[in-house]
This record gives sequence, C-alpha cells and structure tokens, in this order.
Amino acid sequence: MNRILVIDDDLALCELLVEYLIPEGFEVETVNDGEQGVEAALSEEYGLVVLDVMLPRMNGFDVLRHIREKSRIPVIMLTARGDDIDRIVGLEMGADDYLPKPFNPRELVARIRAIQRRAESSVDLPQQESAMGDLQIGDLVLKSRSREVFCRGGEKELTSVEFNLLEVLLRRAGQVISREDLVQQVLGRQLSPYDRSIDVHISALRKKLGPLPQGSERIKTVRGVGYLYTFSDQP
Amino acid sequence: MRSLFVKIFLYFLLIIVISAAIGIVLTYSRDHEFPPMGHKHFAKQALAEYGRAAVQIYEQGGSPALEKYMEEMRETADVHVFLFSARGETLATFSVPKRIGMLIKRMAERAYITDKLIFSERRELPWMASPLSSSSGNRYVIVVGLPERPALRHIFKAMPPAIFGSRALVILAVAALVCFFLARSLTSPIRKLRQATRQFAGGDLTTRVGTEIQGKGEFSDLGRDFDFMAERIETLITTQKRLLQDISHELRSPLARMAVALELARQRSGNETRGALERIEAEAGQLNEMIGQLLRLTQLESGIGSYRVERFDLGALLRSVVLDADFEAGGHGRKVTLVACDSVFVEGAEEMLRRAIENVIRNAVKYTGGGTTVEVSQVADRQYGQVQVVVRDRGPGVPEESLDKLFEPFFRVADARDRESGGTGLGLAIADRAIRLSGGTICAENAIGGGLRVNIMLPISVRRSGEPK
Repeated sequence: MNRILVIDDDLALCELLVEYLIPEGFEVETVNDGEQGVEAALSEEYGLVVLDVMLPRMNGFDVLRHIREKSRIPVIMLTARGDDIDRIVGLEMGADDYLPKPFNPRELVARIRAIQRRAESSVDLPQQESAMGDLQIGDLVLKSRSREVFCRGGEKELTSVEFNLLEVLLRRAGQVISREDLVQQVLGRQLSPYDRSIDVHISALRKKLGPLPQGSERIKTVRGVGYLYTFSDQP
Repeated sequence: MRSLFVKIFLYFLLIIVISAAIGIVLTYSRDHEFPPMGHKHFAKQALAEYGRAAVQIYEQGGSPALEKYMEEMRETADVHVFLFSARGETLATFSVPKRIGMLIKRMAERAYITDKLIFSERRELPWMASPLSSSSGNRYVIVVGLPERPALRHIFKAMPPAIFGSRALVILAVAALVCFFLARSLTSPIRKLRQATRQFAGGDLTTRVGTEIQGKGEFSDLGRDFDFMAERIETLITTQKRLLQDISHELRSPLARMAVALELARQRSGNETRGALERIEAEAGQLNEMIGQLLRLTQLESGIGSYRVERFDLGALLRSVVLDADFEAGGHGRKVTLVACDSVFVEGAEEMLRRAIENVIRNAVKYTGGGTTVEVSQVADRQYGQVQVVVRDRGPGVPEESLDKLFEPFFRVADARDRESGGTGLGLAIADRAIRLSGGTICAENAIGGGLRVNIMLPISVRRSGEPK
C-alpha cells in the first residue's frame, strides 16, 4: 500500500520526489513514459499512482483511460497547464484527486495519506456493517462489499471517489450534507476556498446516474450549504 | 441564401417569359407587314391586274359599272379599288371617311406625277397607288386598299388559343426547370461555403470545403481559397496553442522542482534560514501565479482558449464565489456579503466567468479597509435583457484619471495600490477580457461615500426555441 508509482517525464523532479517521499515512509518507483506507466500501474505492485498530465507521446489522460479500463488503483493527477478544463476532465475520467503543478510536496503527502485512509476505511466498512452494508433507495442499489452500484437495473461504473461520495450521500439520504463534510469524508482533507473538486465529482455522479424516474435530480444542491440525496418514502 | 436562390430563379424565369412574349409578338407583327417583305413585285402585279379589270369595266360600262365592281370587290374580297382619271378626278363615287379620302387622293396624284408604284406612307394603312394606261391609250391612276392591318390587340386575338393554353404551360414548365437548375447551380456552392464558414467560425478548425464544390470556376476557386485560408489559420492557432502549452510546461517544470527542493531544504535547515526560505516560497508562488494569469490573458485575448459554453445560473455562481471570498477575507479581518441576488441565467463559459468575478471580488477585498465589508449585489433588468453585478469596496478608491486604465495589464495606481499589496496586476485585465468575451462590459467608478465600485453588465440568456447557440 505504501508503494507509490510516479509517472512523470521530468527526471529531476522524479529524483527530488523520491528524495522527499522516502523519509515520509513511502516506497517510490518512477517511470518517465506513458506506455511504461500504464504497464507498471497495472502490475498490481503499487498502491497509488501520481500521474503527470503533460507526458510525451501518450499524455496523462490517455494513460488514465488505459489504467481505468482495467484497474481502480487510486490516481492523483498533476495538472501542469493551470487549466480548469484539465482538472475537470481528469476528475471526470476517474482521477481520485488532482494537484496543480507546481505543488507543495507536503500537500502531495497529505493527499496521498487521505486517499490511503479512505481506502482503508472502505476496506473496514464491510466488516463493520457486514451484509447489512447494502443500501437501497428507490431504484438505486449500492453494494458496499463488492463496491458495485446498480441503477435502474443496470450496473454503473463509478470511480472510487464517486463510489465513496455516493455512499456518504446515501447513508444520510434526505439530509443535507455540507460541502465541508463531504470534502472531509470523501477526499479526506479540509475544504479550502475556491476548491471545486467536490462539485465536479457531484456533477460526474449526476451524469452517470441520470435523473430520478420522475425526472427530477437525484442529488440536490442546497445553495450555500451542500448537497443532499433525494429520499422519499413513496416508492 | 434562400432569397438569392428565389431571386435568380424568378429573374431568369421572368426574362425567359418576357423574351418569349416579345418574340411571339414580333413574329406575328412581321407576318402582317404590308406588303410582306419580298412581296412587292407580287403587289405590283396584283395592282396591275385589278387596274386592268377596273379600266376595262369603266371603259365598257362607265361609272355605274365601275361603282358596282368596286362594291363587289369590297364585299367579296374586302379590297377597296378606286380609279382616277389622269386629271385626278374620281371616276366613281365612293364613300370613305374624309381622312382616308384625302390620303387616297394624294397618293393618286403622287403616283401620276412620279409615274411609279406608291405605297401608303402610313404603315398601318395598306394602300397602294399606281398609274396605268388602258389598251385604248387613256391614262388612269388605280388605288387599291387592302383590308386594314390588324392592330396589336388583333394580333393577340388572331393567335391560335393553343399558344396560351397547354403549349404555353409546357414552355413555362421547361423554362422553370432550367431556371431552377441554373439558380441551384449558382447558389448551392454559396450555401456549402457558408456552411463551412459557419462551422469554421464555430471553432471547428479542421473544416474544409474540399471537393464539396465541384468543377472549375469562380466558386471552386473561392472554395480552394477558403481551404487555403483555413489551413493557414488552423496552423497559426495550433502553433500558438502548442506554444502556450509549451511555455506553461517549460516555465512550471523548474518551479515544480524548486518547490520540492525548497521543502527538502526546509527539512534540513535550521531556524535562521526559515525566513529566507519562506520568502523564496512566496516569490515562487507569485511567479507561478503570474505565469498562469499571463497565459490566461493571452488565451482570452487571442480567443484560442477552449471553454464549454453553457447556460448557467449567475446567482448561484455569485453565492458560491462570495462564500469562498468571505471565508478567505475573514483571515484578514474583512468581510464579503451578497446584498441582493436572484436567479438569473446567462450564457457563457462558467469557469471563465467565475474567475472573472472572483478576480474582481478578490481585488476589492485586497483594497478595502481593515474591518470593512465588500458588498456584492446583483440586479437583473429583464426589460433590457441585462444583469448588473456590482462589487463595492470601502477602500481609498482610484484617482478619476486612472479609472479606465484599471483594466490594463500590469497597471498599478502608484500610491494607493503599490507592489507591497501583492497580486500580479493581471486580475482585472483578465476579468475585463473574460467578461467582454461573454458579451458583457465592465467598468469602475468611485463610489459616493468612498471606495471603488466595479460594475459588470452581462446579457441575460433567453432560451429561444429552435435557435442553436
């Protein structure tokens, strides 16, 4: 779990990251090429991938797409362009988090730890909740143990962040959950101003699940507060 | 486009119909020319024949016989025959209108004097006169009048009705068909070009006319020129886009390495270097911020950024921006409040407008006095389809003469807004470009009672059915 794969074509940065991350208790391998990166990420030897968007030949989005075809390994994207589109596309394609480059390495470590905590807690959850961990609300079924989501009879492909987000919303369906709480519980960090990643995840989730059978939005936005999953007793 | 097609079609059809009509009328009127061209010899012979008969009758039976003959000719053949003596006297009484009588007399005199065949000078009266001698040696003048030439309206009456019936319809249909294809061949290349131009303007830089316009001619030349132009623009824009990305990447890579190295240095150094390292971090952050903003400004000014244009609630956006800004300002002992706001939909790139408004509010937070509140309000004027966002701070304001320059890149008011206050000097320039790109305006004024007021006007989105954005 502590083995981290860094995919970045900047050799000097990779060296510095290794130098910084090893004292923090991680094992770090670096790969400087997209294709090798996909291969290494799918080798199941690593617990997390740090992926740069700007890579020669195969860019970071393509690498992410190839990884996501076969694996749910957590991915942190390093967006270099400072482009909003980049980070939205990255999150929508299933990245678990993103960091704009240049980043503070302390922040990178914090994000890695947050993802690890999330992964651990979701491993623990099924044991605590046992078979009762399955949630069903309306036409939506969420199976905690197998991490599967069925909506309108069909299985939905969710990223791990989206799954965790949906789980948090469903466990407190009908209640408003503040954006601070969601960021804390789902992304494992403090909400900072101008941070819109939780909203991007929500909108990706809405897109994947579609509206309720009667046409209204499943996840309602409560302005200035947060979000809630619509819960009605009437079937 | 439709109208050009209709115009060409109708004009050509009209031209064909008019020329056909003129052709028909001309042909008919020529057929009725008197005497028909090339028939003058025949006319002379006929006249001589009529004359001989009339003279013979006169010399044998006198005036009464001649009158009878004249009567007979008029009734059976609609031919008027008049016989004059050499002295110009009528040899039989006849009744014709006075005008014609005068004409006949004059023609007879002229024929006698010139000793030639005379045609009526007035073309519509098919009369002719000729001198002649009888076998007995007496000289006479014969004047013959054929039936009057039909007037134009009689030509139409005389035409077989079939011309106006099915045959005309067939001709019209053929003409219409030809005109349709002509008009289409002229307008369809224009339509294709227009489609390509619209697609290109809409952002699809790979649009080419290519072989859509076939053949050789002005239109296919125009198509090739369009393709050439499109090729050049595409190359220019992709080059510039790549250059911007490269700049961004190349400038940020050292910054990224620096940030990690800085953190390593911090771990390994003592307290005495902490201040200097913090300073380096702050400056590097500033540099990074500036690179980002410069790139954004370049993207906005060249219009090569890629943005998702959508319809969104400006009110919701304002609420969340104000919430974030208030949180941030709270750390500096200042506040941001939303005074008035309701749901108003606008069209544009939401992220771009969010940044623009964020920049304006952050700027206000930076200059508002300690412990004061920045007021943000939004008023929709639905009558004029405009929504106004006002951001008002409680700072020192800006000298009147500098108000316009506020939105220029790197402009700083020397005294009040100095470098120590931080910022890149690009925030308001970016806001200005972004808002103008969204079809709005932004301006600043000094508020009554102190502080700066920035007014943003944006067009309200009205969803029109069937109109693609």
